[in-house]
Amino acid sequence: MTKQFGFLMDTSLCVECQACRVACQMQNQLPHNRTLIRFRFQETGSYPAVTNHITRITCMHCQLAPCVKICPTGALVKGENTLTYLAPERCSGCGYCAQICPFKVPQALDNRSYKCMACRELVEEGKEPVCVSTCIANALKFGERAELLKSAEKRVAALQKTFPNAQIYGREQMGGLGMLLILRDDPAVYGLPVAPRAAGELAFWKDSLQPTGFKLVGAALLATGASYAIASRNHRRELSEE
Amino acid sequence: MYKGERMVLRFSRGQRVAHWALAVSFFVLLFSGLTLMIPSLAPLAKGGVARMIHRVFAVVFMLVPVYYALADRKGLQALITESFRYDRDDLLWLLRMPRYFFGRVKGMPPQGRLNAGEKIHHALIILTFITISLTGLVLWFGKGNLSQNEFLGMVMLHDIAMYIMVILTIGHLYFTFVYGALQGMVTGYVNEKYAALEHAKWLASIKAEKTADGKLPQSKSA
Repeated sequence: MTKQFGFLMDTSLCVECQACRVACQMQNQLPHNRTLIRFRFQETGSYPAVTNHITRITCMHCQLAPCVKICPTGALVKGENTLTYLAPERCSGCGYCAQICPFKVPQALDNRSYKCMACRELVEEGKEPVCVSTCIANALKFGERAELLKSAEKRVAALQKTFPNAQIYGREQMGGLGMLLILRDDPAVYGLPVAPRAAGELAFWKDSLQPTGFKLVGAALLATGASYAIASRNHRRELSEE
Repeated sequence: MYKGERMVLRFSRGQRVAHWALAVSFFVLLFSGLTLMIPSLAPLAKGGVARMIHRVFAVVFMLVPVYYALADRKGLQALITESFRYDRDDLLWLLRMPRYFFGRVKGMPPQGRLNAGEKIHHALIILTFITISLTGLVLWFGKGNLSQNEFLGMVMLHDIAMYIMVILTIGHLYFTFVYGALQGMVTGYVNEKYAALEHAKWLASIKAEKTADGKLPQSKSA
């Protein structure tokens, strides 16, 4: 298996310019009112000691991605680099990914799903996704996840001098996120779930219920198909006995 | 199969229209829904075409009981009450069901307008109809606003109801063709010999009506 790739967003460096969003819209040829990158802002404290927390609402590239598991058309797939790709031309817009995502990231609009496509062509050419190459504040990095984690640890250690709750988000969540976040405070402050999870019923539905249902239907077809000739002959015989 | 016999009316016009509207919409719903279950059919779901078809026919499907109530209110009432009421003959009939499955109707206990198998079929169709309609409406109008658990609960119930309906339909088609019963649902009339063999108690009740007013109102010559 090839190495895990991912993003690192240092939320403490983000200047809220939203250039990443615009670059993403241009790269993916989206209209102005469709975006794969949204933001959440949260102020804590009271004047004059106010802290502004910002985070992106964008695909977290979960290692154990429930959207990939639930996608009925194969539009959502895991790349070898473990990024979660979306092929809009295969998407039916069913919105199952939007329903199952623990971060509520995908949006089902215009009969398709909208979520980060991880700039597949660029990444496979060895380039950075456009949001990363555009970021003027160096708040975004792209690369091998292990390397990103190392640099995040250093940065968090420095931040903790000023923000004792500073931490890395995404180390373990959902099997490890491909979108690592450096936070200055607890995840809840940013509106991030502390322990996101995919409901266990998802695996039950896809791995047990659906195959069992299909097997039962198959058994019914076999039983009736095999008995049909005998049963109709028996019936004709009874009618002719009259 | 049956020749030269008198025919008796088994299904009113309203019942037949309701039956075929339900049957057609069911199969359209099944195949448009399967595009989200069988990966090789997925290209048909592209761009939401299958979803549009699924929703249009879901409306047709859910309007069938409304139509039935307007066209033949007594028929609908009878269907519901008969489907959930089983007498001693019905229970005996169910015990001997394997005989019937293999095409042997002689020796089966006498049955009313619906045999016990049809009653169970109708009862389960009514229950799964309600389940699949309600969960479908929640998935349709709650799209994007359901929690993970609400969503999974609804799709799983929708799926389970679908599997039950498909299996019931397979059985329904099997008995229809083993016993040559298709014509009854097309024309509404069944052969009197067929009625005597399969629905003796029902035929007797019609004959009783005949003696009361002197003619058999529900019959015609073949």
